[in-house]
Amino acid sequence: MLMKKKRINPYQLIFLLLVMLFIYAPIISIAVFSFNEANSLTVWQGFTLNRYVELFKDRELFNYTNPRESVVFMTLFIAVVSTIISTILGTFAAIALTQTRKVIRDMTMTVNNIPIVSPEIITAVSLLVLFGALQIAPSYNTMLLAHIAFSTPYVLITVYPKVKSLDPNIADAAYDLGASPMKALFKVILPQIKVAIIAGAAIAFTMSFDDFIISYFVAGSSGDKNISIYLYTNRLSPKPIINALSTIILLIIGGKITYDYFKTGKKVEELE
Amino acid sequence: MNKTILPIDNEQHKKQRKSVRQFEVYLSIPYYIVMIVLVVIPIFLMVISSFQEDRQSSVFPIGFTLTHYLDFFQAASFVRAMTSSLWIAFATTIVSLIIGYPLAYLLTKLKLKTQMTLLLLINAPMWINMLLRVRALEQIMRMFFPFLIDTAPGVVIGLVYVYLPFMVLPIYAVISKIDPNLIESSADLGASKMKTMMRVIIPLSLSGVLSGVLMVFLPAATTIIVPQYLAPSQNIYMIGTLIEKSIIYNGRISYSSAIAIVLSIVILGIVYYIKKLDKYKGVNANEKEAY
Repeated sequence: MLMKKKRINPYQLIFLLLVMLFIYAPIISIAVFSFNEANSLTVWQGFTLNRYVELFKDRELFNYTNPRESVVFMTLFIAVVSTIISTILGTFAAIALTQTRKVIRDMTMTVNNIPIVSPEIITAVSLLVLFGALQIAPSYNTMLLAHIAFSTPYVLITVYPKVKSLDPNIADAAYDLGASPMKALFKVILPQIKVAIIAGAAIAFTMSFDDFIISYFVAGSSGDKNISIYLYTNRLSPKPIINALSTIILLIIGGKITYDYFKTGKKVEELE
Repeated sequence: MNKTILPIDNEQHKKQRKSVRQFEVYLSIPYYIVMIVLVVIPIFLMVISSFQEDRQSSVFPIGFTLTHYLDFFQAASFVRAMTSSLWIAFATTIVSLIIGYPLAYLLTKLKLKTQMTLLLLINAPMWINMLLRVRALEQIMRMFFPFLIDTAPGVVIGLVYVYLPFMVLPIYAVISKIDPNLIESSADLGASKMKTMMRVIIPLSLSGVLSGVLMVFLPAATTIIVPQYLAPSQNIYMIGTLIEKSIIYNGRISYSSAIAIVLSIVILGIVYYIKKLDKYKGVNANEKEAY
């Protein structure tokens, strides 16, 4: 690029630093106070790892003998199952969508956008009405169905542009060489869109793992909780172990993001 | 070697294409079932439900009443929740814009590597559970700014904290796509820096600003979490809290459906109005790639 990239002036630097402080000070304080000896979330008393020991002993979060009663295990289970199902549904629909007529494609896209665009609370109420009408009692089952419902559209819009950009001649060549549609799908089409599928699955997993409003509405009254509902119902009696749990989640996400950063960082360097 | 050219059998080719298409249609059936049962039908049921009396075990048998809709105009709680939601969301959008626009603009001035790093740092919190972030902010507020707890400005700060990236990203995407020649030629033609900003950069980034506005305003207006954490005494009563209360604590599903529908109509109106403001759409040559 021809435009010269100038150094920023001190005011701009201060502005940048203030924004970063605003974004990261709360997150860092959570991590720091997870090592606090006192039960308080505001007064520092000394370093301890007890919160982490207590965390893994907590029967509600980690129930090793009965995983069905464990908040952490069930959150992960629902995230994994809904990710697998929504990734399969969304990917296959994206592949088929390139072959259909424009009318159907436009209609599908419109319906697909509804859960993405509309505020979560409206999706939550509509699903609650559905389960009420079908008389399906709220539980982890309704939570799973709801998660499939809002994750699938994200997989479709992530995978579809990639499928559309594929050269149709490659698939045609496979058919001409005698591949069955099934074989062409698994040996030719899917390998070409692998990256987009993984990106879609990552979005689906995060959406499910972090979801609060929809899960709370469709399953909250049953006592079946995911991590978000657990955090919410404990908001007025803040347990110190929540800081420890939060820190572990932060570390996992931070690790993943740093890893991605160094992977893409190399590409950027090559570009420059 | 003997090369034999296979004759292209048109009939067979067509048949093959047809079987492929059929196979793909079968593959997409589960998707359509899920979308119809879990997206389309619920919306219809919600509309039907909003015209029912509450205290029915299911949507069937179908009755008809306008009670819920008529109640709204008398119920102070609904009017209060709706107006305070819209006001708080409006304030949040303005504050996010005031912070987000200069931030996005500043980013485009930096080295590509620094841009990527800073963008990642701004984006990273979006991968973290929102409840964790709001709880973290609550902790900081109680420590350093306790006077903000239970106030409207406190709730606005919380919403800015959560939704700021939604404002920065679309604006950054549009500004970084502005052709540098346009800015240069504006300077060559004698425009001051200020004038270039007002007449070239801001109009060209309008589409990014408007999508940022929508992406901040809508979730801010319908939030449940932020006021519950940052205004726990519930003196800031937003529409999300009202729906949560009527569903979770009072079990009034039909009443909540009616609120959700009124809310959707208000939101559709706002979205329609904001989309209409986008008069420079497609001016940027590269804009289509960005979306």
